[in-house]
Amino acid sequence: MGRPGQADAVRLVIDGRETTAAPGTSLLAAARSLGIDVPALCEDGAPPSEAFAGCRLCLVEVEGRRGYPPACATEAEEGMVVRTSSPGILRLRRANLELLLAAHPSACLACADRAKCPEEKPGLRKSEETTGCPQCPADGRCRLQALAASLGPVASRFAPAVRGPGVRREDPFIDRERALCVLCGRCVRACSRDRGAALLTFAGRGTERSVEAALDRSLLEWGCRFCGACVDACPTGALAERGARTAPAAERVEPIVCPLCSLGCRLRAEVRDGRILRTSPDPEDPVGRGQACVKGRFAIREIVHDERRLRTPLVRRGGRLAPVSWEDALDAAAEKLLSVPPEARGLVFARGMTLESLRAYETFGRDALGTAEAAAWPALAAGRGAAEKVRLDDVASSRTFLVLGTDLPTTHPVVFTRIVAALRTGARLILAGPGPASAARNSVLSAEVEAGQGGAFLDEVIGAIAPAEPRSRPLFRATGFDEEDVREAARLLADGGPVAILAGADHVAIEGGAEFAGRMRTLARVSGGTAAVLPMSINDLAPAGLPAFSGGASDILNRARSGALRALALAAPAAIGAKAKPSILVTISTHSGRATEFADVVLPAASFAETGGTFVDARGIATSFAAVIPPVGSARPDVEILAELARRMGAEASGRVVSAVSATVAPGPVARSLGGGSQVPDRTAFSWRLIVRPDRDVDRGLLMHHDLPAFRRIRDPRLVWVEADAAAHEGWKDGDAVTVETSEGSWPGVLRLSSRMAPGMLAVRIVPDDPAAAGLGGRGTRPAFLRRRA
Amino acid sequence: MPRILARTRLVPNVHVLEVHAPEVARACRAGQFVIVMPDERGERIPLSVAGWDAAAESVTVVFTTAGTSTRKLALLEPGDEVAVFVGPLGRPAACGRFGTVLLVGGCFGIGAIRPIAAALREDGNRVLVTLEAKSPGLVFWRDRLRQVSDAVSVAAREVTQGLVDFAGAEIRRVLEREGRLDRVVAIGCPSLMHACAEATRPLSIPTAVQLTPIMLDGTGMCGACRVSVGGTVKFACVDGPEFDGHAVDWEELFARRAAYVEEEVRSFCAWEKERFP
Repeated sequence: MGRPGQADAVRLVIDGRETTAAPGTSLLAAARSLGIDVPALCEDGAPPSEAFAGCRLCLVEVEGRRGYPPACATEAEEGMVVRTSSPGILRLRRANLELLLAAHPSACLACADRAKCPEEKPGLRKSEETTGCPQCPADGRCRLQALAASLGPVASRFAPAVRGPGVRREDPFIDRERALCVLCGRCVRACSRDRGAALLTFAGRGTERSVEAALDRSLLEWGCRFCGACVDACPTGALAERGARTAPAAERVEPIVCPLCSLGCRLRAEVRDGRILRTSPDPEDPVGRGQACVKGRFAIREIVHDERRLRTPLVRRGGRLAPVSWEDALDAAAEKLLSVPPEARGLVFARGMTLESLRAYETFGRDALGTAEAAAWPALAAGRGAAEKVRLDDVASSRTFLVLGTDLPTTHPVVFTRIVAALRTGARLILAGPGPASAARNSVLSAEVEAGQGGAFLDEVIGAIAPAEPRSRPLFRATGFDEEDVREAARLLADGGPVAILAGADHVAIEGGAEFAGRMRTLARVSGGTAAVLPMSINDLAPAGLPAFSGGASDILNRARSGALRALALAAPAAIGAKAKPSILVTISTHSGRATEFADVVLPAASFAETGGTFVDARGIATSFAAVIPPVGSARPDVEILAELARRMGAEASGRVVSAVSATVAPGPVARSLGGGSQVPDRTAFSWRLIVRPDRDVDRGLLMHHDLPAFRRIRDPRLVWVEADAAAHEGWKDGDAVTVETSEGSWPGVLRLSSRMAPGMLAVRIVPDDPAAAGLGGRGTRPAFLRRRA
Repeated sequence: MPRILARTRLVPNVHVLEVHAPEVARACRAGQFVIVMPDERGERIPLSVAGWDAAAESVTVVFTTAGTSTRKLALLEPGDEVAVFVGPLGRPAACGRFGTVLLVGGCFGIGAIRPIAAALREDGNRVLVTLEAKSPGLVFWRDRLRQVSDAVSVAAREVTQGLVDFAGAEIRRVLEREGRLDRVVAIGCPSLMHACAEATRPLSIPTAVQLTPIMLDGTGMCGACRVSVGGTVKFACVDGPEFDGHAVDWEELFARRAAYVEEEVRSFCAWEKERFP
């Protein structure tokens, strides 16, 4: 942070101790580096020039200066003599603390009987509003409590003036309670500076001042992504995680790897009595760097402790699933699977499981089931196969970002936070793709490019930057994007320093796969930078243990539904209905779901949090972690279940399942061949063109958008996005019930108008293996009808 | 089904609910309670009656939001209905001419002491009221209680700052000022009632408390509300809710009230997830 002409370090004296500090260091940081504890509430690591300096608790004395400057906002200077503690400083700090406490429900801090409350009033955890510490979601973790304890006395001479009223619960995941807010602004800065969202702001004046979303609307209305950074920044309980409001204090904190997207962030799981109380980002995590997303922050506890967790083995008897012992369930499963010949058996398992489980399933399919029809879901489609190891630090150090058709804040949240950090220092973001993009507010250019026209768009941009560059396809008059956008993108890319061109593998598949990825690389070459096809799910970069079944998981499921496969062992989300089920269905699942309902045997599996294991992230790096809690009920790890099942189906196989797991190694560099080609959409007869994006928010059998109510609110899987003008022309409105029809099938949805879509375009997200959307792959666009339902 | 006439948040976590219940309003006496089921899926919970108006056919209860059922009640609006609203239940509070009576109310108890104060005053007692709260901002109905008493004082911990034996100090202060106290009635959380009873025990002032154990049917059938008073088992629903505070086995009461806290928290979280996704 040094400026030209400045020394490398300044020397100063703090509390009689000599020290050196880099120029630009705050007195607060310099004091803390000496182990001197200076109280502070609003400080969040910002340099002195950007310090908020609102709590006025870190006041110090500097010789030769009048008054008491705040240490957070004062730069260490050569020769300074600083005192962090004196009767005058303490008097002022206490007075400032009293002012804070007067506006806070702080009676408990002064109560002599407080120790009795946990025993005499255990139900206080269920209170509606916070009027004291035992009711507060931050009890035991509150900075104000800690300060009151260290600064004392806690009595406030000022008349209590608590803001209110009530707790705002209109948003998912996050409760906002004005009464607890100390106006430190850490949440405001986390939202804007760290996440690039800037949804929280100060509102009102004087005693009515509070932190709100603008115009008193909900965060949801403003498009909040609910990353939870504000909750983590809050030093009190003013912003609280709803699902952890009643949680007692944690017994221990364990590292865990999040498997809910391709990035594999390392999180901290707070644990007590065999339950995960909350998960929060780990500041030491090289991927997330102290930032998480809605899934890592709020979903893991919900998934692991969901009411639909299977706790005991079930076997169908007399038409109904009945609880049985593990012995009986395993015997029944083995007997049923053995009752059909190997070629009539199939196996589908979720790719999002630990690497150990994946190896066990692969080996189980080959050696115990003896079938070739075993595959992980979701399949690595041609374009997804192009996904490559992401060098996050290279990406983050770029100055111009071109993101193609991928809503990074949703699909790769912490990649986006790294981009936001770069944008803060003047880097620029360009978006180009079909449909709405939540990052548009952070971009300098957001170009609408129709699905299927992305390659042509890149061609045009390449041509504009490097006219001599050979085109990968003959020149023709391209449609589906604006020529002005091409020129602007080319201008930004050509003169903006190192460039990073990013696209999710899903979008690359939609645009035609290898050819499109090739154009990304060409553009990166001519504009000076890197291109990366981002993997979409955890373990996408895991090396295959066995040759994958050529037809893939969808084909196996379809054959099972049609009866071509008579027995199916299933450990993945799949739509199995009463009329479309194999004669034998054994599910190995963490949650009850659509398939377990029709299963003959249900074997409850332990979740990733209960087994620990290894996940391969988007950097191609394998990270292992230990189990953080014991399995719920009598659930068992997949590996154990498969070994037991294999033993019953033939002793030899069991040993191989176990040894396959122990042979699991960290993967080296992964090279994948590019495949696939573009698909020309049929534009006849149908009035709309449909872009289908697969829904990736899945953990094994649990579909987050479907099964977790709060997720339904932020990412409603039923939404059908439609271009606003065309929709308005038809007289359609947001929220209209519609049916989308294609030649492959039809399914119901709810209309959402968007001004950021090309005319005639529809976009939907489909949940995995949705029978209504059977046959819809992720590639290109397809013709569709849109019909309004009564 | 009984219809809600009004519902207002008085202070944080405390609401007043006015329900159309003609039969209850006709028969109610001070110190009695009603059993309420917020909806058909809900549990039955006892709530002290804070007022009634036979002519208007309405009954008023003041309640503290302390779990799933009370949170449900706190979301009701005029015109909504509750599944069950039965009463009056329990024995009325002991009335008669005692002399000088101090009523201590905390949380919902501030509402619940109002009819008792009115009845005691009608019987010719000098009625003093102390409203207890963590903070002065959590006290309500000062004016309403002034209408039925001779003096109202507020005891707020936030103001007295760190005082040990908070309730005892308050009672002794009143005793010093008045010269005599012939009876104390305490209604609120068990901690408050226990503290009052312990403060008056050495002073030998008869002290009535209104117990709030877990209760299901409210008519003496289930026995969920068992309490030990003077060494014998009593049912708070039919033998109480008013008991001699010096004879109550407080330790047992606290333990029984906490018996299902983890289940209550689970129920609360499940409801909250459904109601506020």
